[in-house]
Amino acid sequence: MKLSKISIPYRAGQKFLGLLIFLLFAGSGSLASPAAAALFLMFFMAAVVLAVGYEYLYWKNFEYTVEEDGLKIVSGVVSKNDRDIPLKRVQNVDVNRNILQRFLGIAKADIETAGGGGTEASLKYVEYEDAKQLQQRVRELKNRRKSDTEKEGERRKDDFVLSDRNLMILSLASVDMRVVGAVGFFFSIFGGAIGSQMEGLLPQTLGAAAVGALGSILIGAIWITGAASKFARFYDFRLEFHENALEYERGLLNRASGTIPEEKIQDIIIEENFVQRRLGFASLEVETAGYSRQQGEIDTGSETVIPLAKREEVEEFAREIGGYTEPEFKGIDDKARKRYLRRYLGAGLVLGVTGLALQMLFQLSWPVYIPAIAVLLASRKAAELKWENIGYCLDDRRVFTRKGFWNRRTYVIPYFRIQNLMQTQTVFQRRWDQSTLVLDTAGSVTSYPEIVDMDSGKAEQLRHELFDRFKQSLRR
Amino acid sequence: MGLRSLNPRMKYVWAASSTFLSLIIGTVLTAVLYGAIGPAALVFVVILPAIGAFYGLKRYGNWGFDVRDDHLYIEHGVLKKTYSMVPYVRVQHIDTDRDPFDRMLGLSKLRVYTAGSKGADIKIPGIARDEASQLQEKLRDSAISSEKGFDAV
Repeated sequence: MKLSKISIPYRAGQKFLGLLIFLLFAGSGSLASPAAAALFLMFFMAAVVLAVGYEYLYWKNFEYTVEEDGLKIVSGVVSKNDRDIPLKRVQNVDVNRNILQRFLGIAKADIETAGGGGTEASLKYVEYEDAKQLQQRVRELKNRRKSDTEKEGERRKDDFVLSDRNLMILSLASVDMRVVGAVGFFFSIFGGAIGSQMEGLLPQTLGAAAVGALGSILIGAIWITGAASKFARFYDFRLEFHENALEYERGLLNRASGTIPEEKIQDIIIEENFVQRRLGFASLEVETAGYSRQQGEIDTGSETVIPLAKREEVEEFAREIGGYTEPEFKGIDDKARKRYLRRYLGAGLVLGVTGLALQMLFQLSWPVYIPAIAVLLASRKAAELKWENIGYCLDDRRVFTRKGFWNRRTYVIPYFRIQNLMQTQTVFQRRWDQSTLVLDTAGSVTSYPEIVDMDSGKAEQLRHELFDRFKQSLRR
Repeated sequence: MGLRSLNPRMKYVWAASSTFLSLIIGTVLTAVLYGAIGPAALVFVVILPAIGAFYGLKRYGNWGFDVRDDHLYIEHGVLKKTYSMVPYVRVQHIDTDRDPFDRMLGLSKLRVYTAGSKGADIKIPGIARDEASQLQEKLRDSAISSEKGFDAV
């Protein structure tokens, strides 16, 4: 089978775009004289012809076939490359289309392999129908092969489909409360200063209204862009449970599909932000890593498996993927709560003193100490909420950690996925004899599963306990 | 538990470097504040280097590692103490590095790589050169013998 003919101008255009931008910048100065402009135009045309010509040859020389035993790809303009990919190594064909490609009816098909590295081969670009067919055929062939040896290939669980209602909730409730809080806080402190700057221009009350409006517009803009990007990303999201892998498809403008081989999954994360939790919702992510021996590279990342669903449903899916039963979380010692309370009270005091100082220095009419009072009043509740959301649980095969009030994350980490164990203690923790236990896996990219502010003695005990369980898990 | 320390030369390296750094900061602070508070600003030139020297010594004193049966144990840190356990099964590869300064002092850095991301790069600075190569070999052997068909991820 061949690539799509449209791929010729498309690929040429892709290659050409960078050059065009460069030429426009470099050449724009020389366009003053007609001779220079003619030369520039000639150069430009030559580049177009070359690019299209090369891509034509690329297309002509590119051929792929799907057979019983695998995929064959023959390619190369100058040096030829024949690639055989055994079917048993192929996990799936991922089909991706951006908005332009959808308009042109073409798609990128990536051959994803199990276990090892990333993409084995990438077909740029095929007709969308061909891509779907290829995907279908690979799946059929794999299933047939499997049913010879063992009678499986059935889906383990019903598909997950993100409902329109949940998509809307996801988009609207996805705002990071911390950003909103920060903007609100900024305006409540400096709003007075901005307001007094405007005093000459507007009457006092109008100035205050203007500041308020500015703050609301800013928050609104952050909210809308966040909501729109979530909406476009998770539009028409679906997830299928296959024998050894999860497959998803999503997107409004960019339609993307992907495969997550089960053996690549390092840990599972259930995430609920404050708003979602209030409404009884949660989301599910898995972190993946694969190690390919040839390249010696590890590719990691986290993939959203369920963008939003009722908490019970998410937990059910998580248990299905992770193969566990309901964990019983243990909290950390009460002294952590006391420490948080002191921390917040301290922060409130510092804030209040700073506020008063500002007020006296600049003769502000605004009551700048109000946020400080709010912080002081809220600190007891805040400390309690932070404290009660921290927890962990060990079962026979995995460890669970949980943290966060605004954004609560629950990690599920099989013992045998642990890469190394770290216990850390800052100067502040030392005074309270507390430590944080970090469980490093090959999947963690931005945030790490950790049990924060444990009693140091218990943390050390747990560190050794986890190490023993890790060792046992290797013997299985 | 019998932890191994770094090469004693590191004590002087760290003490000297942090003293020097804090001396610079102290001098700048003094110069800036002299106009405002007068000779009292000289305190910084004295106190900061003293803290720096103490920090350097403490940093050396707190550094320890141990090559155990099934894992490499490391503890270090002054303001933030860290105790890590790196199982040999998880070791991807081991490097020894020597920058010009290390070579002048006959020292080496040993780096242990795992697939993990936070502690992906575990470093033992300042051990004698031949000790580093011995350690590198030992760790490599332990990593190989503990592997027995396990993938490091």
